[in-house]
Amino acid sequence: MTSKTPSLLAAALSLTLLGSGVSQAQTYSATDIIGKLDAAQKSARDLSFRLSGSGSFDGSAQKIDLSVQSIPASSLARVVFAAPDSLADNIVVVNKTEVRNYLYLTNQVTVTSTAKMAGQAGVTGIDFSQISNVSALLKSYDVKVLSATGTAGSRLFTLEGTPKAAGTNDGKARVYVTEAGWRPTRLQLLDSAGKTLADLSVSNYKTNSGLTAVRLTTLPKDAEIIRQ
Amino acid sequence: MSSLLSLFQSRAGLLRRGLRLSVLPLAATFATAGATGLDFGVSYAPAGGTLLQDGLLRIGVQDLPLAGFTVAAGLGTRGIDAAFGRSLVLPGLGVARARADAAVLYSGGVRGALSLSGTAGPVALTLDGGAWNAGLTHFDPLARWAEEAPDLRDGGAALGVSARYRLNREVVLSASGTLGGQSSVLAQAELRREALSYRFGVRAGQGVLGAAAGATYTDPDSGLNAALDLLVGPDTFGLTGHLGLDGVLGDGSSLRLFAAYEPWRTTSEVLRYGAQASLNVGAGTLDLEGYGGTRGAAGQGFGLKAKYLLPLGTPEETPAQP
Repeated sequence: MTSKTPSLLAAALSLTLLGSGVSQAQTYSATDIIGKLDAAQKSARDLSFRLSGSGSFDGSAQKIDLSVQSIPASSLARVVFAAPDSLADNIVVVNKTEVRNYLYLTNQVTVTSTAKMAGQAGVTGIDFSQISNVSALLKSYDVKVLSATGTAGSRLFTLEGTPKAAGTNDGKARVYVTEAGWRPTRLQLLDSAGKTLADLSVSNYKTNSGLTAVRLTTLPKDAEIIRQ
Repeated sequence: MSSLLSLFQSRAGLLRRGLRLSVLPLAATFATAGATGLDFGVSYAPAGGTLLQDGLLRIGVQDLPLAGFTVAAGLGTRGIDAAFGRSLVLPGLGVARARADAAVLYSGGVRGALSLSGTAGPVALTLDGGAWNAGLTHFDPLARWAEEAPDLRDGGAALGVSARYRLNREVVLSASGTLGGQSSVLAQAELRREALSYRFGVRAGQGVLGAAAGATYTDPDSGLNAALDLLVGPDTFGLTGHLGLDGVLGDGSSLRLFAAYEPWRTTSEVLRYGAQASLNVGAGTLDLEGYGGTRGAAGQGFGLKAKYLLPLGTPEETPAQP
C-alpha cells in the first residue's frame, strides 16, 4: 500500500467515528451526508463499534478484528485488537497530544506525540489531531456519493473519498452509511487500480453507552513506558 | 487513530519485565515515568550502621530528551548514576531500542549495563549485558529484595538473552537465558484463555533443574491482577507470586504485593517479599514501598522506601470528563 492510503483510512475511520442522527426521505449530496454526520458527532457523547473483516498486506490476506471506543468531544479514542494474531490484545489510545500503543507481547507502552506523528505523516499519512474533526480532515479530500441503494428511509449510501493533493494515484476509501440512524456499516480501502485492499464491516455500533475518559485511557499499570 | 497498516506490521520493544536482568535498579526507574520529571527518593534498610550508612537519599531527573536520546540521571548520598536511551519506531519494520546505564559510588565502585531490544511483528528479542565491581546493595540498600532476583555478587559480569514469539492468538513461546553468577535457561510456553494465562516450561542451569508452571489472572474491569509461579525439580524448589490492584487508591493508583521463595538461587536472596503502593499526590506520583527477606546467611532484614515523581514541562493531556 502506498503512503497515502493510511490517510484515506483515517478519513474513512473518522467518518465512521460519528454518531447517529434522524433523516428525512430526500436526496443527499456528499456535503449533506457529511453535514449530518458532523452534526451527529456533536450530539453523541461517546460511541463504540467493532470493525472486522480482512485486509491484504504485502500480498497476503490477514484477518482484521478490532473494537473502537471513542469520546469525540475530547478527541479521545481507544482501539483494542483481536486479530491479526500478531497484534491481538494490543491497545492504541489516541488523544489530542499523543498516541499510546500498548504491546501485549512485551507488556510495554510506546508513547509518541501526535506532533511527531504529524511530522511522520509522509510515512504513515496520519494526522491524529484531525481524526475527530471531519470537516477539517475532509478539506484535503474529495468526497462524493457513489451510490444510494434501498428504499427511502433506510437507504445505504456509499461515500468515496479521494485525496485532493495532486500526485500519484493513491487509491480511495469507501464508507457505506445507512440512512437509518446514519450509521457507517462498512469500510473499504482500494488501491489505485481499484483492487480492494481492506474490507471491514462495522458492527455492535453503540452511542452514549456511558464511556468515561478514564476507562478509555486505562492501560496496565505495570507496563513499561517507552517514549519516542 | 493510527493506520491499520502500520499497526499491523510493527510496534513493540523489550520483553516482559520479568525476563530482563535488573542490573541497575536505580537507573531502571527512568522507564516507568511519563513525561520528563524530577524524582526524590529516600530509602532505609537498618543494618546496624548509621542512618547515612544504611540509608539512601537520591534526587534525579527522568525522561529528559537530550540530543535525540532520553536521559535519566541521579545524584545521591552514595553515588551518581546516569542512563541514556534511544528508541526507534519504524512503521512497517518494528521497534528497536538501546539503553546504557552507569552508576558510580563515591567510595569507588562502578556498575555499567547495556540493553538492546527489538521487535518485528510477533517476535521480540532482548540482549542485556552488565559488569560491576561493587555489590548491588552498595548502590541501593533495598535492591536485594527486588521481585526480579538481582545478582548480588560483589563483582562480575552477566549476559542475558530473551526471546518471545507469538505463535498465535493464544500461545506465546518464550526462552530466556542468563550467563553470569548462576547461569540458567528458562523455556516456557504461555497459553491465554480470556482473563487467565498459564505457562509451563523448564528451567535448567547451574544448580537448578526443574519444571516450571505458573498462572496469571488479569481482570481489567476491577484492576485485579495476580500471578503464581512454581518451580519443582529433583533438588529444586521455587515459589513466586504477586497480587496487584490497579485503581484501588484512586485513579491512576496501584497496589502490589509480592513474595518469592527460591532456595535454588545462589546469587540472590532466597526469600524476598514486598509491598508497593503508588498514588497520585498533587501534580506527581508518590511511591511507598516496603521490602523484606533474608539477608545473606545472617538472618532477616527489611527496608522502606518513599519516592516522589514530579512531572515537568508540557503537562500530560488530562482527558476531559464527559
